Amino acid sequence: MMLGRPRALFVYAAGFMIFLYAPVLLMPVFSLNDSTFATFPLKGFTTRHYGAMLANTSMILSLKNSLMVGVFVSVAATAIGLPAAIALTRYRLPGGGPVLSAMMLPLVIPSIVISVALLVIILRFLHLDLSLWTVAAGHILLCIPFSMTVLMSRLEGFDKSLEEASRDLGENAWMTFVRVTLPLAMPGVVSSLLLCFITSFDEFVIAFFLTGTENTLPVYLFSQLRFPNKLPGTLALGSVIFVGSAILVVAAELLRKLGVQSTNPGDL
Amino acid sequence: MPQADNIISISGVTKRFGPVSAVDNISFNIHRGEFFSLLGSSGCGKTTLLRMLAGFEQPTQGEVLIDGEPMAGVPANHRPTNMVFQSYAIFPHLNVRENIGYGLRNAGISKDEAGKRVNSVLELVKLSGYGKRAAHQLSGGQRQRVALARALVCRPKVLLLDEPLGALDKNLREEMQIELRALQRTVGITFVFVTHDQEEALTLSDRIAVMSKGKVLQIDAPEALYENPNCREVAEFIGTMNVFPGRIAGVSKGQTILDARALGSFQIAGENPKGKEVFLAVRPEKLKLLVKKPAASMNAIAGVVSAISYRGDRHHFLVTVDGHDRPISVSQQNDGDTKSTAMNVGAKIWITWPASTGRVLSH
Repeated sequence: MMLGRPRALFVYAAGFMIFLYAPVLLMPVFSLNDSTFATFPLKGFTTRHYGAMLANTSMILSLKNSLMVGVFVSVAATAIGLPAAIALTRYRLPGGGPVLSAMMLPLVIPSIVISVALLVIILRFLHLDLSLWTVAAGHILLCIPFSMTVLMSRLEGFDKSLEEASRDLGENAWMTFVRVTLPLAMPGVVSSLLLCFITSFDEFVIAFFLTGTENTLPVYLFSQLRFPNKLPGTLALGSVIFVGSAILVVAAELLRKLGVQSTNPGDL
Repeated sequence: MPQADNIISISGVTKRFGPVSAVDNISFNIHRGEFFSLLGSSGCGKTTLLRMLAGFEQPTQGEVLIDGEPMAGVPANHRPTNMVFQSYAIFPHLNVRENIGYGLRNAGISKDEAGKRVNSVLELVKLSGYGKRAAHQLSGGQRQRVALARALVCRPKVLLLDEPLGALDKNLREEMQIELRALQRTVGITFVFVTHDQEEALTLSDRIAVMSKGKVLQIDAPEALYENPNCREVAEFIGTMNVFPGRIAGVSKGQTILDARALGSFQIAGENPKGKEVFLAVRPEKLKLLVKKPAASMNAIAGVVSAISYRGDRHHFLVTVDGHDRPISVSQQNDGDTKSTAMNVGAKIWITWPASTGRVLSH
């Protein structure tokens, strides 16, 4: 009886993991299968889909676009989120509550609504051409709440008298930020960068509405789903991204653990 | 009073948070080089006052002078004060040396000079050899020393300490009290020390300000504060005090006669205006317990022992007396023969004290 419950839990956990990861793990399997169709039985091993992927310049270009937008968005959203998070956690701001709610709003507004609203504003009021810049702007809006959430929880986690101590020891507000707040918030900043990058990289609706002639990867992939013979190439690309992001996540987690050790001792 | 004697001068300082006055119209001076304590229970405004000295809070009204300079509008980083925080606020991303050297970047001294200063202050707080330790490798007592060193290395005119010993266990705290006192004498810097622990304040301070509800009740040297409190609140906050209400019945031969109604009448040294309603205050250790009624020249009350607690070096008696709502505390030195078998719970005994040990409190 003692072992009964853990075993049942183990079966449940194993089933859960299979349900979660089996579809994703099928992707690299089919990307190495020597067939145009992603079906069983497997026909044989090949790497030709990876060759096709590399030869598909428009797909590689859209990947490049997505990476550029993602990096820009993660940096911009974190740069905007950090001062806001500091202001909201460190000072008793008049109207701080409503401001916070307003900044969190993109989390609960459907992205289709945001997309349409942004499209109208960009075309009718700002008279800008649609481009990767407009996609990035939309993504920044979407990413700020994520960035704020991560950064605020980090900033609330450390003793506010650390910043007072810095002021007391003769540093002004800016140098206190540079020498104390930023180093201590760094794990949060890294998480924010990663989270915003993934959010932007993965985002379809806003990108679909706000992009001009250049596609981001999700938009490109969506447009290619109509052509079955393009599928193995996208599976190959998907596998590469999957492995890449797995490495990134593991690296970030290792970094975070190191960070926890060096910046978060048993604080009194 | 010559200005130069006062390193800090507080005049008419009030701090309001919304409708609440955390500090209510306080004025006093702190002398150069003294160990000054702000003593009071939590919420009495002592920490708020300290934070106004540090520059983390601005007074709503009133003025603070530090070394003759008005501090209005001067931010914390431009004040000649440094603070030891209650949480120590050791920078977790820096090692011991980097923590201590933190404030020297703006001191306008060379790296060599800064290094020398860090070394000498590490020696001062007995942490030589710990320079490379990370913050999380330090014990509570060591963190406290780093916090002290980090503030002292800046050579402030005033060192502010916000309950720095509160997080330490009892033995370590007593050890640190002695060290802190010795350190203050060595460096000669004015210390302003916030605490709620009256014993700590008595041990450490040259002078103590007892605070309550945003006001200062009394400022005095520890002995004067304990022996001659100016009101019941101070008397009962600093140690234990037995208080008997009564009316001054008369004065004779330099002694005041107090009519304490049901308890009888008592003699108190000194003269007081006749007819006034006052309180007689006597410390537990100034009272003696006797089995037989004492001579008439001594003050005496008859009572029944209701509880005895053994405190090692002394016995603490609670004695119930008819006509007095609270039991009377009596502390007797454990000298081996004071507590006779006749003084058990339920025993009828006499409490007695000479006229010289009672104090008259007006409120």
